[in-house]
Amino acid sequence: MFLLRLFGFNPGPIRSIESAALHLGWGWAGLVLVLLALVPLAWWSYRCEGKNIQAKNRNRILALRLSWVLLLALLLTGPIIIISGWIPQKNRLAVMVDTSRSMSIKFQGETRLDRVKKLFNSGFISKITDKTGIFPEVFSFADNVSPVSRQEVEQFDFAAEGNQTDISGSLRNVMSNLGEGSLLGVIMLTDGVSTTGENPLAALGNLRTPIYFIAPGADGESPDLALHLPKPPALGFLNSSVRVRGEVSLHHLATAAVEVTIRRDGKPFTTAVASFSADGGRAPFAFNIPCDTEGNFRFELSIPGVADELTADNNSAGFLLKVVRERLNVLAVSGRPSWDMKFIGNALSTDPNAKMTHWLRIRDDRWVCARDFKPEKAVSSLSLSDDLKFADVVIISGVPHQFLKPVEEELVKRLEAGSIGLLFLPSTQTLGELGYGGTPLEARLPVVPGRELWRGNPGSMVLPSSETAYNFLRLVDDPLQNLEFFATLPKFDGLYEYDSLKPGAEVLVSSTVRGSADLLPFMMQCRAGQGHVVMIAGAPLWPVGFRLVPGERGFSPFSAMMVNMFKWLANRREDAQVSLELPSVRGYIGQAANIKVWVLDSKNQLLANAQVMVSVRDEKNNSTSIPCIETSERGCYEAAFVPADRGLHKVEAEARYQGRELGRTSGEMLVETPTAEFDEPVIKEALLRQLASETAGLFATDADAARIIAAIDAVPGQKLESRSLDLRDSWLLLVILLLLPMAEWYLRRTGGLS
Amino acid sequence: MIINLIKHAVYEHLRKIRGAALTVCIMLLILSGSGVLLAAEFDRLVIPRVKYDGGGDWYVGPTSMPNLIKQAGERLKMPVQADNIAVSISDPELFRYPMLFLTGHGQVRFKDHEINTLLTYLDNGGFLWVNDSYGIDKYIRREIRRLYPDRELELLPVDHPIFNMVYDFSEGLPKIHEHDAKPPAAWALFDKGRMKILYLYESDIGDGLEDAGVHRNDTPEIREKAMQMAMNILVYVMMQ
Repeated sequence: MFLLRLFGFNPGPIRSIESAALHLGWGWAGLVLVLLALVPLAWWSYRCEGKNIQAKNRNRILALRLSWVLLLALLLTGPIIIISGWIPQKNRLAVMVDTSRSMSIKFQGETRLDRVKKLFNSGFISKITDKTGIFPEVFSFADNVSPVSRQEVEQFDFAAEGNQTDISGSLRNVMSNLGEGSLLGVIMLTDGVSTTGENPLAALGNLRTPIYFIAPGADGESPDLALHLPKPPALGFLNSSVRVRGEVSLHHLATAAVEVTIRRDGKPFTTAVASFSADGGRAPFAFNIPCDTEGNFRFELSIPGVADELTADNNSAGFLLKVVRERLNVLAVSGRPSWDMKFIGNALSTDPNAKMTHWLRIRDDRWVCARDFKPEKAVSSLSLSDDLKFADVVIISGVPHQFLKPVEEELVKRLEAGSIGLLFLPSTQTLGELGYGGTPLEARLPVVPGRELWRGNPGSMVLPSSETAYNFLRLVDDPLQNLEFFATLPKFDGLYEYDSLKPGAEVLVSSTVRGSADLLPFMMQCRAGQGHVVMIAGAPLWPVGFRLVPGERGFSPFSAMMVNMFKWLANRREDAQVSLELPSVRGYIGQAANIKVWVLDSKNQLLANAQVMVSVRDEKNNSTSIPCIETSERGCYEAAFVPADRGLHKVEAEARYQGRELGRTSGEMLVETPTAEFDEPVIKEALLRQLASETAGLFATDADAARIIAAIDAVPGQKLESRSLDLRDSWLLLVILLLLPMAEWYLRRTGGLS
Repeated sequence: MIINLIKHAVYEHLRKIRGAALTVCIMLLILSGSGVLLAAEFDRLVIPRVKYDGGGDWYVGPTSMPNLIKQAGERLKMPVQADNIAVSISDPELFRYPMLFLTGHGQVRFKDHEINTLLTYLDNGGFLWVNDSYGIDKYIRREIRRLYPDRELELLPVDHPIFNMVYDFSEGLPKIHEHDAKPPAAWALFDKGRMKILYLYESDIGDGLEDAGVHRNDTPEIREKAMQMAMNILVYVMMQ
């Protein structure tokens, strides 16, 4: 050590050297090669002098020169001395207290946390300090890990309020944040109930730090009845029924059966009975929900409580059920065969959720029906009433009014209520000729029929000069390119010209059939109550649809336009552009729910770079807005929401693209208090013992916690550290390197050789 | 069988030679290439015939489709374009037509790239109606197998809706033109729940659709039956 300091090296915190080694940057072979080059040179230059010299002086000069050569060769090869030695280190010890709700389970009149408190009050921490010489760093853990100050420890400021426990995650968190020092171990005061995160056995089995576990007491003795509803249904289809299955579990309780009460939207709905076998444990129950009405329904299940029950939180559970029509049902009625209807059918068949029923009039007494694109045998009369019940959109194409009259009242009623949309297609006959004049259906059209005039000139489609507000008309993202795209679509052979639009009606697409300077309405829309009516005045549609070669500007976008228009007509606009994906319709307080929003463009293709915002409103009308982050999946945007309160939460997502609103969608989530902490109210002794064994730690109960203190190896902390010392950094060696030739020069001067 | 085939072909050609000058003109037009054929109007019903390789007479019965289309206009009140139009499978114009008619005697052969194009056409909503004038059976079955190697033609039962669309055929496909005294059969290839190919064997609806007098044995009743069945096929294709 003295020599090192003498040569000007700083060994750092190393107080005593355990080992030292010389390392050459060029290796020993490099040194030999350098010597092979330098030594003969030095010898040759010495021999060349040819002067008489005393043997004594000759040897001195030779020694000096060889020493200089050796030193120079050594320094040239990059010599480094590596020394290793022990350095002292501060000992560290962590104490982690489980503050999850399972710590409130009672044993012998005391909760598990009470027993921890008792242990602390008995001087557990001070005994650790006495043994190790350090005050341990204390943490509480449950949902997350929090450091606890010495004052809080002394006051025992802990509460069993955590809704979940992540033993492995919490332990890793503490160990990575303890800082420099020698970790003597971690003492965990826990019941071993780990409800989230990695499996502790898999995650902690290879730790080199001893983990000491102290279980506060034994199994809880409080009785508990728990209702388990692991996978409640989220979606039901109209006119079907949904089967709900669950379980009831018993703990320190014996009963033959438990009645489960089910309420729908706060009103009694039904009951189910969970019958236990002789060995108790868990008993299944089930009930059916007939989906006879569309909408969102909140179901609440409850079981009776018992005296001194472990917790009442797991005596109830709930879920939301959304009842929807299974598919987008389109009902078409045609007065004559047309490729237009086949095109519409082709477009709809690209959507697996779309279904089409098409009635075609062959003669007044002969009708053919195709259901789901499968034609059936002809029948003698039209029968629409059954099909109308399930229809979301009705297409009327050249069918005389007399055939619609039997269902007209129902059709108009549903249209006004917004549960059906209407699409009128042009035909070879005018609406007047077909008998629509003065009818309730005529009153819902966007135009005033009567004096319609067929303009039999080919024309192109023209979008309004201002950007369209309707997503189904945006086949190409860029508005200008979209205009061009519509203009280049195959022309129409003509359209019906009407006197005027009704107030409130709107032209969606125009046409150039009368010249580009005099545009005529081609596609119009108006509202009828809450429903939408679209009328297409020009024909035919099928040339566009039957350009069958798929491609960017071919069949696919136009099909998407038709499908999206039908969804819009069916008041399912959200399906066309923005859809919400909740991880579950059930959320839990304190647990993040990842909300996904899928955004499609008007061509039904997933859209990147959209701006998506999710807002969540709870039952108290508190609203939280969260911007979504785009994920690696194209068109998918994600936001994490952590519920703070129980109850129904309304979730709404809005997507915008380049400042333009693409659409909105909404959903609901029922937030409950998590009860997983009470699912198995036993101390996980086997798990804790195994973890302690695998990490060279120890398991004990609070009664024999002294064993833990005794087992802690409290030797002063030190660690082996190595340092590299580069000999070229030594000022002394530099001086020697200079002195050696000077000494030779001196000898030569005094010996008369120079 | 071979003798019958030769006899039939000779008969057909002799008939064509002494046929009306208009027929010859149309033939010449067709043979001169599809580029000079009459273009289809979008709002009109047009059913082009398929021009295929292999040596078969794809052009046989030039009046059958115009007659069918004309009748569709009258009976079904559809706007029509009653022209005889031919299209080859490799022609990009193929995709303008939702329905194709293929007929002839003898060899039918699709080129490899035509197989791919025809598959795309059928998978995107197109329909192929094959009419066996005579002797086409083994060749068209081979080509259909090349198109859909994992699918089989299915024999349509007499109660299939195609026999009850516009007109009722309680006994199934009508026999229009006698060849080998075999019963007529309607075979169909279904894919993804949709009929994509209809192959009429030993019926020869195409003959029955031709002008009166072209086939001396086709009585007005027989010809009406052929037209009625053709209407059924047309409406079925438009409805599915």
